[in-house]
Amino acid sequence: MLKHLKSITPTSGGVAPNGVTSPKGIAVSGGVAIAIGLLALMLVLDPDRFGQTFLNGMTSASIYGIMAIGFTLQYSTVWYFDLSYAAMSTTAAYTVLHFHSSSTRDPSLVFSSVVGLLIAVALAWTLYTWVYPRLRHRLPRKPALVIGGAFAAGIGIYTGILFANPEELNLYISPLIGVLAAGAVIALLSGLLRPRVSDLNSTALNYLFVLFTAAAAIVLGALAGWIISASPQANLTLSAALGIVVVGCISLVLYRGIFFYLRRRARSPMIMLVASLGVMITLIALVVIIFTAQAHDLPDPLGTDPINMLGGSVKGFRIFMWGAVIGVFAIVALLVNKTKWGKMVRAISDDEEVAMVVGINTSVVIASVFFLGSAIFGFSGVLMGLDTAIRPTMGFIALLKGWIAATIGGLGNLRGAIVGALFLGMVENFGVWWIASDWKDAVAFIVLILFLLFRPGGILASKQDRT
Amino acid sequence: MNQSARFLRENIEMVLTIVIIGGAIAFMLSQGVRFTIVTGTIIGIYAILGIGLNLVIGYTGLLSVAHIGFFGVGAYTVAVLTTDPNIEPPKSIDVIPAIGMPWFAALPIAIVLTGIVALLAGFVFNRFRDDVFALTTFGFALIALGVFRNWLPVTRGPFGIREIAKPSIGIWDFNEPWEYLVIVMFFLVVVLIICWLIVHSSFGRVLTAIREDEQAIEVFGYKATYYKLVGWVISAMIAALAGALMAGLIEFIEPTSYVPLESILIVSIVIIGGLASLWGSVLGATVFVLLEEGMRFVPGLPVGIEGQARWAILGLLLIVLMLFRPQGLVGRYKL
Repeated sequence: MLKHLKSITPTSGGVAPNGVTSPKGIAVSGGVAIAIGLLALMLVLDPDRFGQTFLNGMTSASIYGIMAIGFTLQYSTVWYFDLSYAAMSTTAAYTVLHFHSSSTRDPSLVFSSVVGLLIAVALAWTLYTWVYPRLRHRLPRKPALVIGGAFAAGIGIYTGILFANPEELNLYISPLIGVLAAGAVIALLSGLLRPRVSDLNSTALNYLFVLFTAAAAIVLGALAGWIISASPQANLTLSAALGIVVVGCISLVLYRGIFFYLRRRARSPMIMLVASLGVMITLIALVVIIFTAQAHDLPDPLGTDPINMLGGSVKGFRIFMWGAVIGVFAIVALLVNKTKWGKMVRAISDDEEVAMVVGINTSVVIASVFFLGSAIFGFSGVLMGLDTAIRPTMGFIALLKGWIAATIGGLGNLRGAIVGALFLGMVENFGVWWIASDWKDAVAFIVLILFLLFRPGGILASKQDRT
Repeated sequence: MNQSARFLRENIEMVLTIVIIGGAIAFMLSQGVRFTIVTGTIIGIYAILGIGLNLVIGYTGLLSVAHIGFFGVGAYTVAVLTTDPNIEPPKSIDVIPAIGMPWFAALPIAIVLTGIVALLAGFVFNRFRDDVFALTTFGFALIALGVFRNWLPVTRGPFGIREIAKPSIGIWDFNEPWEYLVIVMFFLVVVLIICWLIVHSSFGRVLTAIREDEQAIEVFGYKATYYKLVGWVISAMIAALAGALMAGLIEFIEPTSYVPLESILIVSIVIIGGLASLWGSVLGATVFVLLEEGMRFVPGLPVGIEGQARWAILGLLLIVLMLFRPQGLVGRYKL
């Protein structure tokens, strides 16, 4: 970990150990004091605008926070900066646009088949490397491969059909939801009841159990499918979910097809940076070719009535976004800190080779990190698209902001990502109080450079990182 | 078969050079002499930019995305200094001070000014390395764009500056396209010679050593910071020269030509052509410009997506290069 941190640490070191007495310490404390003074001045001058700016800052912070979490998850596992995630959030947002009823273009056959193929490849690879090794001793080789291949191809064709009929999305997707719900019910019931039932060791009871589970699953599945296809927001929600899954699969394919090989050969993080840059500009160019470069609007899912608070007003959806970032943070923190998968991720983060030696299938775990990371980026892209408008380059600047947030919060630290995002969102919005709002990006980068110079470990730097 | 394959493998750089240059000349001439001259001029300008950037990316090993900013500072300085008072701007846009300097007088000012800007920026960026360096220099490009777009009294913001003078010496004004090609080629040769001298001097060898191992070269008593700073400033000045040439060529500049994403295209010139190879940058610029121009002649491509198709192909090219040839077409150093 220290090896990588070296690259961002200036040669002259971070905060001096004796704190305030060093010139740097004085500069930092002086800067903080001036910032607080300016904030107080703003509050006195125009309290209403202060409140509105605060709310805008919260909204920016929520997007940056989600980005920063995804970035932290990915970066602290593989230790290179992956620009292709910018394209992930763009792609997810455009998937929603594609399924939105007033979609701009007729879906072409080529486009749908490419998406279908992509999903099929991702699924086939996942099955082959993750599921198949576990079942190898129980199943004969050829039938298992054929069944797996057919399953992947079937799902691929199904996705292709979904993409070819964007207006009928909820109709076509409800069977899938039904099947998923049924599967979940079966898993839950067999987990709850099976041990007690099998204790009785009665064939009749076993049959009864199977019948009962199947019936419950079918009923619940059909019910879920029906509810979902009938609800008014179905198209939007489902397409968002689909977009997130699709970018996850794209990321899996990219990892397996490009980054897996590059990571073995790469001499420096630069090579990964340039390769991911290539991926990003290719994907964004494809998005522009399919959907044109102009900005598109998506419907507002929670209505446009503003809610008044703190002297300003805020859309309902933005409050949802504030909650979403907390939700994403909770899920990722739970996954990373409490599960076996998280343990594996942390092991890979510390030392990939050692992790491999102790028997972790690093390739699969990293692939799952890529899936989860790009799904998070896809989610943030969807949120951005629903909040404002979608345009092809929106992911890139947002990804950079996410990176800035993660860096000023403390790299490789999930709490740091949230704190950094909150800080960045506020600084960006309050920083343009007296100047044109065009300067937001510049303010963000200046803050980043100040942090890299004066506190390279970030706000929540651990003692070890500061050295 | 086997022998020819081996010949190809051993002389891949020569073969690539011949294929690219031969293909470029054949393609350009097939489109007519005028096309050749205009495209050649643009290739020359991008080659100057690429060579300068190669000093930083290829020789010093710092992936700079800031050079679009220096390119823009050079172009804007020349544009502001040479605004011709005789040309009336449209009524709808603000009047900016008309200085009306000759192009050749504005050029050194532009270069020196860019050098000063680069020096100031370099003090900050010098402390970073690798991907952090790349992304912070992107911040410089963003800030430069912000200045171009928002400093209305000087740059006229989004409206751009239309009254840029063409270069002229005495009574010889370079109005014909071929005359401009001559100027660009002259500067290209000058820049090539200067960079060749830099690279093959002891200074250039220190830069290469910094790329390989910065701490080791510090142990030998070289102040890596100073060397990096000087290389960075020279490279920025060359970018300013390219920007000035570009401003003189198209006689109109606006901020959209200097968006930071454009910087990625310039970086791809260096990476595609070859790291730490001056000749490679010329090749890279050729590939880059012809990709843009050539897209218009691809049969079956729907109208209106040429620009995007070029982006897509550039991206794929970068991926393939990173996978199979990380040093670029004729490069000496693997990223």
